[in-house]
Amino acid sequence: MTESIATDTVERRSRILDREVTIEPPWRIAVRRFVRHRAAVISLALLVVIGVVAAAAPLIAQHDPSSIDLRARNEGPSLSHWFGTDRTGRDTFARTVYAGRVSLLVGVASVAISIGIGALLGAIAGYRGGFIDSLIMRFTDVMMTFPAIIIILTVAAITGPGLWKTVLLIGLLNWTVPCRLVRARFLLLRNLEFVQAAEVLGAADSRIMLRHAFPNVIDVLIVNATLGVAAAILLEAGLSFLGLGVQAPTPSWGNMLEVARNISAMENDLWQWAPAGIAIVVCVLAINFVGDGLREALDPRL
Amino acid sequence: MGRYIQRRLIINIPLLLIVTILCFLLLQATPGDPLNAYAPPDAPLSVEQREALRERLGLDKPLPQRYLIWLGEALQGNLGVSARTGQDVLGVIGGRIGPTLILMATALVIGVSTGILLGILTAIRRNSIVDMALSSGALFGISVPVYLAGLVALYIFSVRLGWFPTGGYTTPGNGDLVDRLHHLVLPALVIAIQYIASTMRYTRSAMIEALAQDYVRTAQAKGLPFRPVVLRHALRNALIPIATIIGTYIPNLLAGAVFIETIFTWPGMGRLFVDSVNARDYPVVMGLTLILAIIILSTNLLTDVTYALIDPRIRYD
Repeated sequence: MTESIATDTVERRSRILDREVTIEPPWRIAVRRFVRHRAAVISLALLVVIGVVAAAAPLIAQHDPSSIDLRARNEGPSLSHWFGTDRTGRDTFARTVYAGRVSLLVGVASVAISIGIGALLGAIAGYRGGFIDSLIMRFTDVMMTFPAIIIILTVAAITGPGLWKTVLLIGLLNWTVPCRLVRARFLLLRNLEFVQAAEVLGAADSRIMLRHAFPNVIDVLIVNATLGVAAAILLEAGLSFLGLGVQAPTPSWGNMLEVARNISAMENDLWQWAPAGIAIVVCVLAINFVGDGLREALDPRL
Repeated sequence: MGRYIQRRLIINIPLLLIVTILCFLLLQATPGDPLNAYAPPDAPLSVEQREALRERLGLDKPLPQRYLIWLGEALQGNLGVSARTGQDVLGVIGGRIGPTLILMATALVIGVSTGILLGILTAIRRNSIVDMALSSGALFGISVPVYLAGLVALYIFSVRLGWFPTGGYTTPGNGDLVDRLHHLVLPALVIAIQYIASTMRYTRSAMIEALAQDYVRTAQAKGLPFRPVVLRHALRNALIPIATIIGTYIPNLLAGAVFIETIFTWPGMGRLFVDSVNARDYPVVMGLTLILAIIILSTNLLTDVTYALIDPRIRYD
């Protein structure tokens, strides 16, 4: 580690001496650092595989995930049904693969919502400061006090379950962390020369926030969004497991686990719920490792 | 100190009011006429009789006034009746608090004590094989969701190995202490995993930081044996941040209870919550939300106060 830093410095110095002033662009430094993080690279490869399998689900699964075959219920694994079939004779392998689509969709879509809200509120709070800042931050504190699952359960009791409702609820509840991160950055940026210069030149607040300040928070947002996808997938699976998230016939890893709430089904039909459980753990661990790798790659202090 | 506690209390009161307003509004947003809770739509009542009833119950009043009526009743302990069983909501919830508290407290004690022990161990054996094994184990423990850990534990230890019962609070007809403990161990351990892992991580980094301090070097330099230096000098200082971490565990413990009580058919508030949501028993759902909010807000207050008490450097006045 120290060795590579030392050679880096020597290289850079020799380049300067050779008057060859090429400065490595920041994204390339990040890529170089990310590649050094072995667990993150393997996880990223794994995620690409999961993504491709989910996207190409119709090509990979030989069965329709929701076609019911009452003559082939609760079967074990076989050549035609790799992971066996569930209580209504649906192919478990096809459901696991298609459920990956649902989980990734919920993860990415809800994070897009929460990052959008969090970045907007955080930017306003950090840039404007004063009363608006304390108002937004107190609201954030309150939101952080209550566990998302309890709020979601309360609201789900009224709105009823469903895929898009789940996406919306998770998105609307997880914006507090990105909001705090963006605010903290904007508080610093507000006093930096290039932002003040833009202000003096008469740029509108919205332009300063978007064009000058925002590019400087992208790094923290990328890391937070990555970890947020994992958290959202876990939350969706948990809700669906309780029967309050994504509903059958749409397959989701969480609602595939629901079978195991019955002890005899848990005991006799391991093939109906274990693949979904393994998929959740693998996917979430991989996303978390990639998030860690990105954090280290993008942090200028390291 | 007194003024600090006072101020925290005053901050928490509007918060609680906001929660009650939200609960009330959500209750109003439930599908159907609120009158149905008192007189079902198929009841043989004329339109005039329905309107008379509506007026008598105050349901024709504007929203803010209805909120005040509802709040007044709630303050006196009347949260309405369960739509499923017709029982008093507070009574229904009251019967479920005990089992939840026992489960949470056991899990918290196991989680925090084991976590601190492992944290000290990994900090003093930093970068050893033990440290690496435990640290990556902790990362795994944090990543695995509690419902999955619960399912796997139930499958292996109860269903396959038969070491523990497959759920419930006691065996019907047998309620002695051994039987209760037998039912308690597995769900409590499963909940504890997460807290062992995160307490261990916090303790480890706090201890590493504390061990690098000058006062630790001084203590070692004057010839104190290793054990008192670690336990009295480093640990006591490392424990201060950990005390606040424990406070943040309480809301999460309640969230975890929702899953674990469902999986282990534990008769606590979490399972009542899920069952009531599934049955669309709105009065019970809102009652639970309100009580959980009160519990969470008071633990937050307690955490802040404890923090000020144990760290003499912190003075909020």
